[in-house]
Order: sequence, then structure tokens, then C-alpha cells
Amino acid sequence: MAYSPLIQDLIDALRCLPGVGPRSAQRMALHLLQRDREAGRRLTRAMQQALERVGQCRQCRLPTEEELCDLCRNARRDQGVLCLVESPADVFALEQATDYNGRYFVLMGRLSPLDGVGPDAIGLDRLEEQLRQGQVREIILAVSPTVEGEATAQYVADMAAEHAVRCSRIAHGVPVGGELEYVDSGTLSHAFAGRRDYR
Amino acid sequence: MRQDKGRLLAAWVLHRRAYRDTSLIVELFTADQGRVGLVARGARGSRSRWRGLLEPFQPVVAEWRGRGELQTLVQAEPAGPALRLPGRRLASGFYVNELMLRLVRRGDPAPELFAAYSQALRGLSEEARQEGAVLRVFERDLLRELGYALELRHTAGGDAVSPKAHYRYDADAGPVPVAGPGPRTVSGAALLALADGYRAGPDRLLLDEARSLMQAVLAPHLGQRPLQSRQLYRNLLKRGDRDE
Repeated sequence: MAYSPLIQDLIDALRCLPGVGPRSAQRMALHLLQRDREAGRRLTRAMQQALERVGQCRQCRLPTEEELCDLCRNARRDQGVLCLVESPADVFALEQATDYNGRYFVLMGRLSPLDGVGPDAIGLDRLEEQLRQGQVREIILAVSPTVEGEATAQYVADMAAEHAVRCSRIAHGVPVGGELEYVDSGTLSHAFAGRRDYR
Repeated sequence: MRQDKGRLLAAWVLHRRAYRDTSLIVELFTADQGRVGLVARGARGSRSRWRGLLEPFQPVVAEWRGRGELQTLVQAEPAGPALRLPGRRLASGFYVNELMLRLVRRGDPAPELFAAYSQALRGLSEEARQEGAVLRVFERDLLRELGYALELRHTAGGDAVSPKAHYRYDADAGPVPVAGPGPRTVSGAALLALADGYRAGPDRLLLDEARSLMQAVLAPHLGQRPLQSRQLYRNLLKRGDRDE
């Protein structure tokens, strides 16, 4: 049996979401149509508003409908420390896990020459502009431990050195509660090379 | 070409990109089958057994199945620690991989090229080795394996190349003697040093000449699209204090 065009259209549209295959798309569409039209209307409104109004924070590139995001406007946060992350999800992960009290800069990707992603595509020109203005005294690199993350880190570290800004990178190592035997060799060798004094 | 069941082949990861929600498309380079494109199902999931493994500059042993352009990765294990390319050499590593992706076709067995590629990566990971020399020797060997070997010891006319003479490099015929140095000429000394793999020790001027030569010789093979990694390299150089 074939669905009518409007239903089929809805099912196809829902499939643009990550993790949604044909079957779950069908369930979602039928649920909205048969059980909860009000929720569907709310979803439509929320989606429309968000898609129209949400842009990027002028300073840190976090998605927001304001010109400056909450974190950048917050006077109690240290505006002189900048943590570089690859995606907005990383900001929320760090906010939950740490007591970090500085600002962020979201790259929305990482340097990947083989995919044609250069420095300007991840906003490094805007980062440099901020360094030039001289408010930033420290950069914390929280990019992923991949070769592209490494290239990004290197690029930013050079930039920081040029502007005499202190630059550090978060450690990569053995996960808490992990047993060494089961840790992959790359992580283990990083953890070993980056060991610290212990008293 | 199919791989025998249960047989693990030595390979390098050239590149990988996200595919669907949790998978990767991986380009491996092997001696027996050349470049191979594989789907690694679930490799980006948080519990993947291949987490952190399918990274460029990582030697692996792997098994895959299927036929056609994209096969399926079945098994992969590290075959040693990943090479750490210090600082700006990462850009050179990307450059080597980009050349491989652009110039080497999938599925052609390439044992000699595999050796040359391995040697180039190991050279880049050793800080004492001169970066330029490693790259020029790799380019030379890559061209040879692609069937466009450079004639470096003999002129187009069949005479021996003389270190003191100057030449214009003709892509088809080889070095053609010219009266003296000019904008697109190369010295005999630079040709011979490249042929020799810089065994007498790398010389900055000879390497610069060889770099221009190689850029000109590679250009027709690379076509119109500029090399992305070259751009990154220039960007890094502009910032860095080292001048390689």
C-alpha cells in the first residue's frame, strides 16, 4: 500500500534527521498525524522560529539567536581565556564536565586539507582578529586527537605564538575506570608520553 | 580483486571521511592491491573496536570483503604505533597522501610504491631527516611507479648529464642542454643529486631547484584543481619561523 502524497512527503522529510531510517520516519509521521497533532504544530512553530532566527554568536560562533551568546555576555566569566572546540556539542560537554570559567570559540570543523577545509572555513581568520585586539591572554586547545585536530592545533599554536598568547592543549589519556589492557595502543602511547610528575 | 579469507594485509590509512551516521569510508594503501576504498561500518560509534585506529599515518593489517569500488572492512589491527609527524611536517604528510589519492588508481598492485611511500612517511617522522629531500625522492619514485620515470642521468640526446651544465627539462624527452641558467632551467648537479637520492647530503639550493622541477613535472598529472595540502603548507610556513 502506498501513502498519500502528503504523508509520503512528511515521511521523506523526516528522514533528513540523523539516525532516522524509513521505518522510524513512518512511525513519527503516523504518530504526529494520528495521536498528537498539537505536538506536531508546536514542532512546526519551534522549527520555523529556530531556523529563521538562530545564527551564530558574533564572538564565539556558538549557535544563538542573540548577537552575543550567554557565555560571551557573562561578565563573571574570564573573557581573557579562550577554549577552542570543534562543535557546539563540545561546549556543552565541557560545561557539564569541568568548572572552566572562560570563553569558547567554536570552529565548526577542523583543518582538513584533503577535504578542502582551510583555515578560513573554520573561522581562524576571525580568531586571529580577536587575538589582534589583544583581549585574549590564553588559548586552550580542546580539539580532537586526530591528525586533522593535530593540524588545527599546530596552526592555532603558531598563531598564538605570533601574538604572544599562552597556548595549551587538553591531555589525551586513559579513560577514568579503564583498564590499561583494553585501552587502544594510540591512546596508551599518548598517555605514556604525556605522563606527569606524581607525588 | 578479492582477498583470501582470513588473510590480513599490511596497509597504510591514506584518508577517511564520515559516511552515514556512524561509518567511515577509508582509503587504504596496500602493496598487493594498491589503493583500496572500504566502508568501515560503525567505525565512528563510541564503542567501535576501530576507534582511533583508522587514522592517516597509521600502519595497520586489515581484511576486507566484497567487490567493486567500495568493499567492506572486516577486520583491522594496528601494525605498530602511528607515526607522529612533528609540527609542520604534518602538512607534508597530508601532501604525500593527497598525491597518492589524486594520482594512484584503485586496485593496481604497487609493491615498489608501497616501499617508497613507507620510506617517505618514516623519513618525515624523523626530525633529523631533511624534509625536502624526503619529499623529492618520494615524488621521483611515485612518477616512476606511475610509468612516467624522469630521466635524470642522461640528456635527451643520450649524453651523460654534467653537474656543471644547465638544462631545460622536457617532460617527454628529458633534460635538454641550454647555454646557461634561466627561469625554467635546472642544473645538472640538481638532477644528479635527485637521481642519487641526496646521498651526498641534502643541499638547500639543489633541493630548491628540484622542487621547482617536480612542481612543473607533476602539474600536468594533477590537472587544474590545486593541491589543498600545498595551500596549508604555505599557510603554516607564512606563520612559522622555519623555512623549509
